[in-house]
Amino acid sequence: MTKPRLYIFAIGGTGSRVLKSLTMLLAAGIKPEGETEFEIIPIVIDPHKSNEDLKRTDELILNYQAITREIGFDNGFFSTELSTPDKILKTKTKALGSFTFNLQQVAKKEFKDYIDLANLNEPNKALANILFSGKSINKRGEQIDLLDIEMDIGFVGNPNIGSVVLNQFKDSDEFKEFASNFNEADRIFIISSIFGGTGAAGFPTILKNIRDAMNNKNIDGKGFLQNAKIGAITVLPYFNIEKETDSPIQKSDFIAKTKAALSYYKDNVTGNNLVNALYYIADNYTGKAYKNDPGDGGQKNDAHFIELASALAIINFLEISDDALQTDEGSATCPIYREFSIKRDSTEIKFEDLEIGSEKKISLKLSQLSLFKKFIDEHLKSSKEKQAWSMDAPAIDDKFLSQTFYKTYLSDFLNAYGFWLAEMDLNRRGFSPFALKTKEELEVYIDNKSEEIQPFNPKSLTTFIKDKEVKQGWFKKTVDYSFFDDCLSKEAKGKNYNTAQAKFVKLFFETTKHILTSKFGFQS
Amino acid sequence: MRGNIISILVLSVVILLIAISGFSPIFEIGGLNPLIPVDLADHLRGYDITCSGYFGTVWYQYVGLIMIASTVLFYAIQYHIIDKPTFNQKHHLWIMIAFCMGFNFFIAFIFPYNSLQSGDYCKDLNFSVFNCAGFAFTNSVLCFVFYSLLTSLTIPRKLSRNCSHTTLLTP
Repeated sequence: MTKPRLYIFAIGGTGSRVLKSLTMLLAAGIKPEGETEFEIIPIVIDPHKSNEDLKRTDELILNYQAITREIGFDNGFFSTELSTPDKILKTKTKALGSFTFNLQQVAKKEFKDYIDLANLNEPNKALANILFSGKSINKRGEQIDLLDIEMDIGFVGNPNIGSVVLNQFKDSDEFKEFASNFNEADRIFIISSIFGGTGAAGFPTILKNIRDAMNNKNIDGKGFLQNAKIGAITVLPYFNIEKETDSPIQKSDFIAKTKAALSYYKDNVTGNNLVNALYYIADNYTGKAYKNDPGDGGQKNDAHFIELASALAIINFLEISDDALQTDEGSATCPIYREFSIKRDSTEIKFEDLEIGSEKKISLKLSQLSLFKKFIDEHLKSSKEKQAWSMDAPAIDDKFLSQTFYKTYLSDFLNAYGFWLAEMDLNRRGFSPFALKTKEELEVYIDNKSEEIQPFNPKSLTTFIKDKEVKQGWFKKTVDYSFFDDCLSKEAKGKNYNTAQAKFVKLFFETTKHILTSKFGFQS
Repeated sequence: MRGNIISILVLSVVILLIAISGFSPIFEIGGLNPLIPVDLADHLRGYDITCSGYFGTVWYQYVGLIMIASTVLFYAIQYHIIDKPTFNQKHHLWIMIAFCMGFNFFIAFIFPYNSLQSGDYCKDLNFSVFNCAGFAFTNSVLCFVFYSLLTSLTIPRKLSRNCSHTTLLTP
């Protein structure tokens, strides 16, 4: 029996970053509670192809896929199937990677050409000039009219433009194939921010096109799509941005834009129950300011705790039973609205600052993946071909470490995980449950992207998690790498593993779980 | 696998020899060992103080049994009692073997040397301190051989958690 699917539409830069956080959570083995396992199919919708956040997410998911292709889904870490849309979509028109929805006619095109302004009759031209009046900037930072905006850097905080361009979604081949493959048990989740351009415009547009599927003559499977179980997270302002007078993106506009969008949602999204479960998330803490980059600089923002919390909304959505997500003629019968909170208003969030549900969901598994990375960074070279767990067949030896699985896929993924942790640690509000290096060292680490420098403070394993004290006593073994090796050898003893790749991942998942529950006081 | 079979064969031959003839053929290597002259060999076989026959203490037996027991003990200490990731490398095994050989050298030396010093042996037999050292050296070499055979066998070694791959050559 095939698994039901969750289609995630990640819109704009925030969509990519939340998707990145979700991938990290899935890699750590965090999955929804319940019997139904979902296959997750992310689809990124972003006209800004050179967006660094999008590129990083795309690369991360491709590495995740490459890892699971070799080890399967039964090894603790990487235990959720993350598929590319091309598994179901036959259209091969994707411009970047395999997860990106190709927005036709956006590249190197100005908005006025997209709407064919020159050929409109005078009344329509006048209407377009009113609707799209205002100023923006181009890739070179020069001030231009809104109608002259080059859309391959995104919609630069202009949802009025985004809504026009993204409306092509319903006529795309990808949407038609998605619709014809959509089954009754499948679900949809839409990630968007409300205070920018792409996300604010994309969310209601995509939602409307899905719910209006009955009126779309070009697609099959309309019934399933019209009554699909749809969840969404709308990310309200959560980060600070550098003040630049020439930039079209101003922090002062965030709240006004949010209010306007919420007012629109009230009538057109929540007001008519289009969504089965809608999650709101925001943070009014004025922390570290991001570089004011309208898009031409690559828009590479540091990972933020809000994105991690937003990814948890997706996990939460999958835990809601089908009965609670009933839809009748495109309208949710009992819509659910949720927000996210933390227990303590801390600027550097640790596990104990989270509400108990969130803590229970992520603390052990994230610590396991971090411990796995820490071991690889600090001790694997000393253990390989020396310790019993490494020498037992199938061996974790130099040959294994030189193979693409370890050298490229896993190492690249875990390096990205390290940067993700470091970025969240440095951000304000920060998420820093682990003892990482000093602020200065982390900044060098993030800037250099060197594999030789690692994010964790190498001092000791016992102080590796900030708010967890290792149980120690006269007759208790010290928690060090010798203990770690001992636990690995104990875990590996007598076990049969099909491949070295599966052994490496599963062995570390089981061992880190044992160490963290027996020594750090985590509950499994 | 081949190493296992060779080790089992060698050990079986040794055990069979000990069962039939005691330890003397092992120490004397069928009379070919130049380090144990005939007179010392007679003393170790239990030639009594009155020179009337082999009614005295059979030192071969004592020394041989102590050698086997101590080797098993040293092996067990490293592989099954300490059994640590920090003490499972080949150089750790060499250290343990060195200690075991030293211990067995001392044991094999001290018994005939004590007899020599106290005059507690048949006066018709003629052996020296140097011969005692030769016997001790033989015992320590046998200890090395036995230790090597024991650690080359997969079965007992595999019962160890951290030293299951520890041999004279690995890791």
